[in-house]
Amino acid sequence: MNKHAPELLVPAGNPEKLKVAVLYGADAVYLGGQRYGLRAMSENFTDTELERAVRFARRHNVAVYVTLNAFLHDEDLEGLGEYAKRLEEMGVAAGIVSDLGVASVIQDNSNLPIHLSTQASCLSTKAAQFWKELGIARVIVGRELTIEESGRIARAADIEVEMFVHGAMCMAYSGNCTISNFTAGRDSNRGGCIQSCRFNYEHKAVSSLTPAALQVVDTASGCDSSGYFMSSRDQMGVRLIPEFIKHGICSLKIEGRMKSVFYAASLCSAYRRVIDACMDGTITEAIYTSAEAEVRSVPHREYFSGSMEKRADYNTIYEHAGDSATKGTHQYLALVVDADEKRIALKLARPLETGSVIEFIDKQAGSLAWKVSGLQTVTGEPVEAANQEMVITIPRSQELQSISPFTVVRTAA
Amino acid sequence: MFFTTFISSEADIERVLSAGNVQEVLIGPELLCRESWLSNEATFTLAKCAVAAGLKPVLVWDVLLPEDTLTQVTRELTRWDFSIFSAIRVQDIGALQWLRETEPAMPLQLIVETGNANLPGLKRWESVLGEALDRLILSYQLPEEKIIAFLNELSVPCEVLGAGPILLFYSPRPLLTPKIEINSGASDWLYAVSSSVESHQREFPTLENTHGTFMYLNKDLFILDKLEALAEAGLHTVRIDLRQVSERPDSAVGIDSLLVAVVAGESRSAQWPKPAFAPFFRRNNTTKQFKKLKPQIHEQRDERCVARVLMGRKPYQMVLWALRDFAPDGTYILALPDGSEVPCGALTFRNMHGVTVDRCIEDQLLITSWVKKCCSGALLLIEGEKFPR
Repeated sequence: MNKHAPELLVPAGNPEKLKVAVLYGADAVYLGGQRYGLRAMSENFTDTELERAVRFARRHNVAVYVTLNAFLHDEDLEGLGEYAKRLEEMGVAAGIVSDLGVASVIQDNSNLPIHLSTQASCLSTKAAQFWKELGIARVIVGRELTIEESGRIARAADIEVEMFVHGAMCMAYSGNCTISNFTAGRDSNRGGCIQSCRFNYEHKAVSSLTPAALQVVDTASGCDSSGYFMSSRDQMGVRLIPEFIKHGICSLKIEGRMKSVFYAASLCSAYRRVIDACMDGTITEAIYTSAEAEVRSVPHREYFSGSMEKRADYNTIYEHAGDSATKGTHQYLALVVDADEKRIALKLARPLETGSVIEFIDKQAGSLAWKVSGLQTVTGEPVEAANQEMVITIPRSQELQSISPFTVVRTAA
Repeated sequence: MFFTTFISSEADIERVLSAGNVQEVLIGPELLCRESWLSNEATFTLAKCAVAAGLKPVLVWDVLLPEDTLTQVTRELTRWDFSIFSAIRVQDIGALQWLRETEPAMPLQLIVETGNANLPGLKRWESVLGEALDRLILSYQLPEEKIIAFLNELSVPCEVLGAGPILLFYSPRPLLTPKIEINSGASDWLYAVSSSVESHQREFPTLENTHGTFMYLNKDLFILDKLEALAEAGLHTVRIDLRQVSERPDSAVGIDSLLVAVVAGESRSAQWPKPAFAPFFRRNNTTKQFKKLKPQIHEQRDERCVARVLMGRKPYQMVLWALRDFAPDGTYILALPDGSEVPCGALTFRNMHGVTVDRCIEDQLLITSWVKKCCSGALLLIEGEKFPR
């Protein structure tokens, strides 16, 4: 077995999420700047924030990759060469790119390594060989591939192969969906995707797509009147980590730059534990079970293994059924923003009362449940309850000595 | 300027010949083509008929192929004699690479309809593929002005879609199967019109076949009445896709009369058998809304920005989180989430113990006096350049 540990690559939608990802065990993070990426409406990083982020990440031996993965038009390319040069000077480890024009501008202006985004739908050894010939350092293969296929690509093309291990997925071949462009006037491949795949569609069967046939609904076909048909279930690969290791996949990517610090912390901690245990030979059923519980704690669509084991089929549609839709077993409560010997300060996302049971997501060992014995304002006044958005402190007992800033706190849903 | 179209029967060849100004036809076998039912044998037979009729057959290979499928398909293709075809049209980069290695003399027509909307990229395709590149199939989301600019800069011949369906979505998964219980159509493909409230109940034609699921816009693209400037700029080929207005076994019904009208300058979108328009031909504004949707405060997130407001507790205090180390001896501005700024003058900061700090440290909780309008998410900016970087 190839025992090279795969990199755990975690999304960082903003500086706070980056710190959480780094402190919860990411080997690398990916993030977007203010331009050139696919999350146009997201907070992203300004140049100043990016410089700070890279410094912070490098102090913790964590690599930073910057998404430059929109399919850009000529007018969007303005300043890209300079930006690539700046990223290289800052110490960004690579740019993530979909578009050959973007790759060309970067290569003409800098030595920034380029990772080919999954948006480019690199699906085979032959494709990887082509991209390698063009100077691409790593391919993030299409989510239509199995781990075994991806491993074969890595070996045959002798190139680094990164795969998505967890998160929401496009139902279409990435980069091959333009619904938003034509229905909402927002370019999905330049950061404006409106998630049309998550809509509920009504279907009427017809006998062909000719103008005459489109007018005659085929009632005999038993066509559903409505349903979610292009909304994919979420991908989850906790138990497949040994396969990724066996097949030499160099990087395991978690999807979700727009998701919360709760998501980043839970997934990072779960996958970190499993990867480490698989690498040092201590993996057990209990570790898998606990990691699975961890990834089920965050809001998610029904999980499946994507195409990682076998090609995803029609039974991979997320039906949005019932109240369990996009809910997890837990909900985000707070982020630890400071701590001294006696108190821990929490920035609340939900109301909290004295006597509530909360859980600190531990960076190493899962979660630590704790009954809140008292609440104080930051200036030390006792209160019985606190509203969301407040900063509040709780007493720091001996059991909570390991809790430090950027620890994420949750409650049962 | 030439025209090209898909064919699937000898009757289509007759129609194309009647049109008079088509020299090339597109033929795809089901094995390689998204929207074809032709067997390999029928493909070769049709290609031979096209050659006999004086037409150049182009093999269409526009499906995307994951590793195992590509391996299986290319195993089959090693037995093929491609010499009957004048060129091969391809989108998948793995397929492209396989053809470069196995059929180095074969002219390649590269489909760059997804992405590839900038000149550096198109020029790179030109230089990488060199002599083998016979044509670039440009995106139908490009405005006329942009296509002309590309035509002026590229030396390789280019093609655009002149009339035909707009593909919105291509998935390898069979997505209509769970929705349609019995296929009562004449073929093994499934067809539906799919609509959603969010898309204003527009009915999108959708089909599922062996290659996956394809959803199209409810209106076709039609620019056959707007070709003059493109022709002048040197556009090589215009593609007309009649597959979704033809019944099996044909794919080019009406090509003859349509092209007569186009050449006579009498072709109008209203004459196209389906509702049609030219969505991005004048301009592509699909990033226009982004600026409005972006958080307003990002421009202030620069070196002046020293802390983020976590909580404003009127009238007592403002709680902040330091974003970097700074000496607290400056004057400050509060940048609100809507991008507006509120001057706050000098501030004194205390830590969790209530002790006044003379140096603020990154990630430290800071407590200061309440500032009017302060709220969670606002940013504290330091005025001037008094602080060490």
